[in-house]
Amino acid sequence: MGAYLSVPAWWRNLDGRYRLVVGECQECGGYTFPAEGACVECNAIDALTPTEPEGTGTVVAQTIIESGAPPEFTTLLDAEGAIGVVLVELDEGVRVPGMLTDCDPHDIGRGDRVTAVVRRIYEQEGITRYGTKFRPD
Amino acid sequence: MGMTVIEGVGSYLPTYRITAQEIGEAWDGFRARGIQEKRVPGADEDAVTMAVAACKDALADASVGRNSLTTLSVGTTTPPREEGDIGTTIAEILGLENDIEVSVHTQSTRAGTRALLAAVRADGPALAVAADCPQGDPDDAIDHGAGAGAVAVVTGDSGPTVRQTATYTREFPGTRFRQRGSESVETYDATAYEREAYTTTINGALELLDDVPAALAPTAPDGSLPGRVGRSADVDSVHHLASELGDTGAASPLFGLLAAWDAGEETVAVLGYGAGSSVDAIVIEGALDVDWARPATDISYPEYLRKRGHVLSNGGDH
Ligand SMILES: [Zn+2]
Repeated sequence: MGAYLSVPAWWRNLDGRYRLVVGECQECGGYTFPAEGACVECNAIDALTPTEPEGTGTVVAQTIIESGAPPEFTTLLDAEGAIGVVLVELDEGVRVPGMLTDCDPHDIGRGDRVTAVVRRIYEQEGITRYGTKFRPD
Repeated sequence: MGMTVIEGVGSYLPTYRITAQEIGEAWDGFRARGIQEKRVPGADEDAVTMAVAACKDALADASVGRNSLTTLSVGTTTPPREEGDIGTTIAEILGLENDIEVSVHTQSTRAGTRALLAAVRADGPALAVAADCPQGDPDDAIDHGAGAGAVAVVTGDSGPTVRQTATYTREFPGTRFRQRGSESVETYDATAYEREAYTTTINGALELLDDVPAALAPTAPDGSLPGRVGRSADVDSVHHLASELGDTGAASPLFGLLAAWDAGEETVAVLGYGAGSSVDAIVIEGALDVDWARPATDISYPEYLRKRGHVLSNGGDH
């Protein structure tokens, strides 16, 4: 959340935003998200094969935002009261950040099981940015 | 027409739920007929996200893989953009092939059956989805009844067969419409006229069929209108889910199909009614196992207003 991202920059990683496509390293078997650049595990170059995970995982860290959200999130914050931001370890082993949805984030914590769903992330310059959020199981 | 086969079906309902009683207490009476409760989209949901969820559910139910689909057809009266192809967005989110034929049907609650017909007429496996989340003005029957949900269908090799299709069209201006730039569905508000439009066009479509099936699944703007069709067409089994889902717009006749299959019906006429008015009749023989139940979290009327982005300057008790 936060830093301004142009539409072309957003578009470059649609597979990651929409389906959490990760890069599976052909050298060490580790996963890198987003699926670009060097392997985060072994630094191998040009070794990442795009792989679509199941989208299920476990919360490993969480932050709750109740005020002071970036302007593109104020409509969501007004409607929901609080936004949960989590780091999720997918069952394939890779960790991905995302927002919680369909829950009061105060009820969610480390170890809770979640499933990826696609939602409206925010709207900016009249363009809706869709992407993955996590819903508690 | 070749025999199109429905191989898989899927659905989606938003998590949030509100009862007619909760709305009625805020407004001195619940103004939609035959609805007990309904689902409410979260602030981060729209027709695109609901369509995606239903499509994933349908693809999981079918042996046809997403890479062999030739067509994606989408029906909704609530596209989140007036221009800008939401079908493309849905295809990209689902990871469909770039050579897929994509169409979006809108402008009337018949959009769901238009999408289904596009899949039926496709040359190869197809994915059709109806997703809708209508709104009205907070104090009127349309908003009280307005629900949300999505149903998706995958056509393929084995399963129920589409036996016949027909469409009947006759103008009844003002029966249900939304002005350019507005979020609120309106009606001319003449109950007898609206009932006449509904029954006349549905009966017109039924008369085009070789045989009227023993079960009907008509568009259900509320829980009362569908019964009128049953009486005028002399059919006992009329299926819809308006009582538990409210007005699901373009998705409602497909939810009716799920209800008919759940009730053990063997041959069903899906009747997509769109005000204005036109009706698509799609006769389907055979059934699939269905399960549209989803977990729900009950919300209050003030929470409902916030999720819908309604700001009340006056009216209501809150
Ligand atoms: Zn590696």
